[in-house]
Amino acid sequence: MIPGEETGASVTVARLEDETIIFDLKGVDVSLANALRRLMIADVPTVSIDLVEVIENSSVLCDEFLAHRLGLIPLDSTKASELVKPYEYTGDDDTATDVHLELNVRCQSDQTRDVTSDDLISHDERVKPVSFGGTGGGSAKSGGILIAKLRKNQQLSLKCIARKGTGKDHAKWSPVATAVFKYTPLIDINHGLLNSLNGKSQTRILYHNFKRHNAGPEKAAIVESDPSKMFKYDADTDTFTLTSPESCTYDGEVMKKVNELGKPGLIDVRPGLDCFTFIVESTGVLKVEEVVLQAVHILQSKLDTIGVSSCFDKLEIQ
Amino acid sequence: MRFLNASVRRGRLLRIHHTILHEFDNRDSVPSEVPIKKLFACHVDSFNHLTNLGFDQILRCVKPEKFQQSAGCPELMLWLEDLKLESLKFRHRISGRTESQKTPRGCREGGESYKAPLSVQFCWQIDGENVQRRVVNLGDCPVMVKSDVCSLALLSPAQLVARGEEAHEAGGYFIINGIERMIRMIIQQRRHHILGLCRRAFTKRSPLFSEFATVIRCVTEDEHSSIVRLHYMRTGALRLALQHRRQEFFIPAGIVLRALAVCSDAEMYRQVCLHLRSAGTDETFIEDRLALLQRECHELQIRTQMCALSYLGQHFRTLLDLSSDESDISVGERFLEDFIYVHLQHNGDKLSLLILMLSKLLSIVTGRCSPDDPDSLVNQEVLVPGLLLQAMIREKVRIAFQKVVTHLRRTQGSWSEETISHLINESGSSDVGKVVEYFLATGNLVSPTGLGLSQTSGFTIVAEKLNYFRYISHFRSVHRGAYFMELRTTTVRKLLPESWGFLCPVHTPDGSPCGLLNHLAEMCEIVMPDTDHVFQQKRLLQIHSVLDRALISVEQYDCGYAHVPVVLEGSFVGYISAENASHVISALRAFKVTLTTSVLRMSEISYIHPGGEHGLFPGLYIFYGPSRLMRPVKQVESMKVEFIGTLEQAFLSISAHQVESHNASYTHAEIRNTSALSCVASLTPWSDFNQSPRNMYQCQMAKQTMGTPMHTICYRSDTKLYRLHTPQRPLALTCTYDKYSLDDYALGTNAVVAVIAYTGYDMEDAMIVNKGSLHRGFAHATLYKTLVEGISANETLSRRDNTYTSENKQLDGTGSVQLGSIVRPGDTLLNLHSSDGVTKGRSIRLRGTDAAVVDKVVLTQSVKQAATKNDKRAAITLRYDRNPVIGDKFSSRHGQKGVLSFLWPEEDMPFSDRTGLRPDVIINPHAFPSRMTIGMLVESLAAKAGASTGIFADATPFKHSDKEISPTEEYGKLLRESGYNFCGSERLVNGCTGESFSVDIFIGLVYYQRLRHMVSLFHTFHVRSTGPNNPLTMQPIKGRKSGGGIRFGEMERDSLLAHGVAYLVSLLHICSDNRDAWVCNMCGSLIAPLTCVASIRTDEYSSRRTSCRVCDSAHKLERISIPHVFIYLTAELAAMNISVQVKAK
Repeated sequence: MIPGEETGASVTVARLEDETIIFDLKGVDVSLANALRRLMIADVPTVSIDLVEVIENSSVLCDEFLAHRLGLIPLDSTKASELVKPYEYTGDDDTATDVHLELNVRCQSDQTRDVTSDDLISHDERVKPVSFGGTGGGSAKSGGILIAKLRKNQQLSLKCIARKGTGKDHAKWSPVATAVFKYTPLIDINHGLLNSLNGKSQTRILYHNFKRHNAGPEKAAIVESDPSKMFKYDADTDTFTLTSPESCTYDGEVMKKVNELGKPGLIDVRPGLDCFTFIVESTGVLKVEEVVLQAVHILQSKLDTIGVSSCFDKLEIQ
Repeated sequence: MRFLNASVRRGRLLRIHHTILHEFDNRDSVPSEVPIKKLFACHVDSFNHLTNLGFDQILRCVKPEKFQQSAGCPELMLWLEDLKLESLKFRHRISGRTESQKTPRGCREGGESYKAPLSVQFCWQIDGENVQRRVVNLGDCPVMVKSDVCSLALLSPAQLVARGEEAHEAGGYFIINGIERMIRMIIQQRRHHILGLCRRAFTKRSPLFSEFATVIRCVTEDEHSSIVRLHYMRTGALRLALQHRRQEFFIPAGIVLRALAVCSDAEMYRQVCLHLRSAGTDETFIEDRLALLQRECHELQIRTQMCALSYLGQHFRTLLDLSSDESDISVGERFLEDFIYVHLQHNGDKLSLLILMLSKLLSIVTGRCSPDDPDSLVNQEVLVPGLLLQAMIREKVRIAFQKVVTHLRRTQGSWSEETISHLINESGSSDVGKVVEYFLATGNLVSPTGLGLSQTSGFTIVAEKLNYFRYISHFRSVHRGAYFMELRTTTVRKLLPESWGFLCPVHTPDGSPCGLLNHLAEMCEIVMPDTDHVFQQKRLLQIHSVLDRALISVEQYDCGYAHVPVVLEGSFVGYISAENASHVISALRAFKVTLTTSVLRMSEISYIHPGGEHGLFPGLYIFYGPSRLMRPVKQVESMKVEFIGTLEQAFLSISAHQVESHNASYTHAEIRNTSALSCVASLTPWSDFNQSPRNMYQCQMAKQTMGTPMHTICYRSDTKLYRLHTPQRPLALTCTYDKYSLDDYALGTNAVVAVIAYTGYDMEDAMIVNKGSLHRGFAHATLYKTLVEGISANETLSRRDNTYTSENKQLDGTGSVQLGSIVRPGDTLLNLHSSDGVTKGRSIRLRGTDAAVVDKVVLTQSVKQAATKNDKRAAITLRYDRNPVIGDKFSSRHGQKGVLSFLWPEEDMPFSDRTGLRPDVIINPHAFPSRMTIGMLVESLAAKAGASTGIFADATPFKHSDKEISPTEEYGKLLRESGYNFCGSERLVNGCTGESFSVDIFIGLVYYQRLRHMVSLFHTFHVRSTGPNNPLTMQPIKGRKSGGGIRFGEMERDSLLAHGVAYLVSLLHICSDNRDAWVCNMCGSLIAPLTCVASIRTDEYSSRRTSCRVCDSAHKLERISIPHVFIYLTAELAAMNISVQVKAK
């Protein structure tokens, strides 16, 4: 039985941008959270260039190197579901698996010509190179991904075949740049102890450099001691607040500081065991929420095959 | 050179590294002084000396010969003029045919030698009439690339790139048959310095010899060197030893003394006596020695100078090869000139030097001073390529001249212009160029005299361009000499403190060349010969103007003060009192630094003060000759840079740290903290934090790294080249890196490295690599291989027919393989059609096991019209994919090498829960405690801080020792500011389970190098039962090259047994040398049973009959399975009359 089955998992989206999503996943076990992360990296199908036929390459880069670079260029995979993975397809129709792209660039001017992903021409509406806001047409100023640079009279003429695949086979099919979760921190502040703290400036000896040092108010010192800057102290109002718990790194610096001040238990930071903050960044091939949803579906279908019901059945998304 | 090939048509061959070209497009006239060239200067400059002045020096030392057939006949004078190597710089302009000109690039691609014609003029004059000249061709002599005569000499970087060369080509090598070879620098005895030796080996010559001797190596202007040794005999006598044509001659020193001195016996011995007394030798001891010297002479009836000369003339006439009508006395004079102290012209100077040698020898014998260490750098200099070639060419030119001379002497009849020029043509022309080419190609020195060198082979090496670091270090390497390689004793390999600042203590290989193959410190320079005579004169004037006032002759010598001899480049000039010496020295030192063009700049003023505890023979020795090692330090008094020599350094007080203001305790200060390190050693970041052997390992591994060997890969046909696809600039680098702009030749990748034991695949120096990183191009590389095939005159390239088979489908219409096509083993690369109709055509196929991509095909034809058999050749360059696979070797820059053991999928790698960062590389924490490579941890930390703040950390060693703040603190603070942990550790989460590790993991960025040792998956045989066997023991052979296996030895067996493996027979026996043998149970012999073929029987089954030859029966024979090597042992024992009996049950 999977923990959290009865309660059901819930997702709270904290931030959603084009390529980034931050959300809290509550009510699941760590194994499920990790499974979701792994699926997003390795199992969400996308489309990438898989075969390159070099017709002309008079650039300084060798064919293999170019082919490898082309493979890593993100292609819009929103219609990936319309394609079939080549090893799952038994029919004769190539269009079911392959998408043809072309790259034909010749440098005519004395200036170096940048060949970018915008120069990749797709013959298929389903798959196109991801546009990064450039104007297209392959000018050096566009936002495309640089593939090669050409001098005068150098030429690149390539035919590429893009195919569907997953990150398990090759990292180029991985839809995410980062997919990471962390334990959402549980931060307890003992306000009674907090109020007993000295707010005034005082002179103390720091243990590590034995220099006379003006330490400032102790509350401010606690804020200072935390490299992840979770707390904030306003000296005017003498308010000590927890502002950004999400930046917690569990480095223990604050607790160390608190113990040093002789107030153990003032602040307690520990990881929550059934609540996870996910940060997922897409490479642009898919919308980031699509990546998460597809991963959930894949997880569900995987669990279905082994006959386990999952907490995601009752997933609530807020 | 003519390119015949399809590739030119298709423009593929004309690929130019555009980034480089672009950089120099607009600054065509930039001065070419790039720091990196300084590292190659000793090679290029010495060759320039040879072509500029060296040839003149050779000719100046060849004396004109005069002939007279008989009295009254016209006198003929013969001499040499204008020895020169034709410059290749302007050649094409004169001939107007650019295609016939040899270029370095053409030679590399065509497998030819880069040569220029060498010629000399024979001049003669009969009875003062008109001078006749005849130019004699001495063959084509190899030319050093980038020397003054090379066609690339004056080109700007952009012009170089346009010619298919490196933008910053530094030269210094020769191209022999398409291969870049260079002359190794070799350490030899310092010239013009008297060395006191105490060597056991001397006593082995004869019981008369003691172990004491003084020795001096004298070098003439034209780089001819000869050694003079003065031996102390057990009887107290002194013998002068000379070497000529590898023969040794011993002369009683008294005779030479007598022959050199003009004065009377009494006067001469008074002089000697005075000298010896000044050295502080005991009075009665001196008298005894001198009496003995005199007695030896008198026994031979030598009482005057003339007697001595004629005695020498008589005995050494055969050596000198003079005409028979010379008198004994003039032969004797010639002998003194040519054999005794050849660097000095006047007999008076030679006499003083001999007396000085004598007094040093007697001081050592009496124990007043200690002998010198011949292995110490203070008594050594370096043989530079140009001067070695000069000595070689000098010898060959002299032989050619001598040949003409002897022929002229023999000729009868009158001399006419035709006869003489015919004779010169006949006997004067010798192929000196060929001799030099052979020397460069093989490294073997063919010389009748041996040029005074201790070895005859191993002079040249290939300047490998595996990567640029290896290439540089070839030109900075100094070898101790091949003789010392076989020496059992290790004293010569020892690192001596005297070599500080001159030879790198870190950069020496492990194993057999350890300590013998050293590398020059980065700033160390080798003194080149003077470029003109005016300079020489000025310098002498300068020295004498300071010195002469303080000098006193031996007669003025007053025993009350300490006086030391003054020796000026091997010539004794007088004595100087100790107090005057310090004034003279400070005056000279001031002159040394006044100007950068100072005449004394590269002079070495070494003052060994008397009465020191070092026990060395005191004296003021001033050297200004070439080949010495010198290095810059800062003179504290003037705060200017002064070059100091090895002997000089030993008696100076040099501060190891930079000195800002005047400091009385030091006279000099180092310019940089890292001045003792070589170029490659100073590239190790924070090497001062590492255990020292690790830095040595790094120097080795940097030279085995795949990187960017060159930018002209498309113009070269080297047999093997490795190229890293995505090299990066290291995030932590030393100041040397940018000084030599090594970014152009980067050789590694910044990798995110986590130090953690994860999944066990990182045990024992293995490392885990993130599969995702690999997929994204981590350490991807290519191997370029070139196959060269000679095409004979009757063969043409063509498709044999128009049928397409699987093997020849890659061929294009011309019969050569298409560029860019993927070829597999067995595929045809070239199809050669025989046009004579007799021999069948042939096709060149791809061998090996790996598929490759055709990079280029170059067809070349030699310029020479002489129809040699293989005058055309095809060079096919193939690209092999060499992306990392399991088993490949990687290393950080701290001698931490590891083998790639597993490629974990990206999702299985641990990740940082804050950033989601997954490491590229995982190494085990056990790699650190015993190796103590703290530098690597510091690098990891600093590079992480650098990556998050966008700075490149300055990792120059010893930089932080001056500061109060340690690098960990400095970069820790930066890390904290960027929101990381101060110590560089992070909370990581196990990628498989999602649980975080209970401890924080040290994770940062480390520059990783990929080493060239790669597994080829198809070539190692971990287990093998078929394949080649050793014929004697029948066991499988070892060595990957020959298809052998890996030894499973006793220790391996023991470890398996310890794990409880019960059955090892199949591995150790059946897969090895299993043999079904017969044993006779009657006599117990293994070797007696013999199988013989019975000739009468025809029945197949019973035609072989085995019987015991001892028992002559077959019915107790047993068949057993035993190792063959046991039978071998039994046979060997039987040969020693030991019988082995086996009972088979």
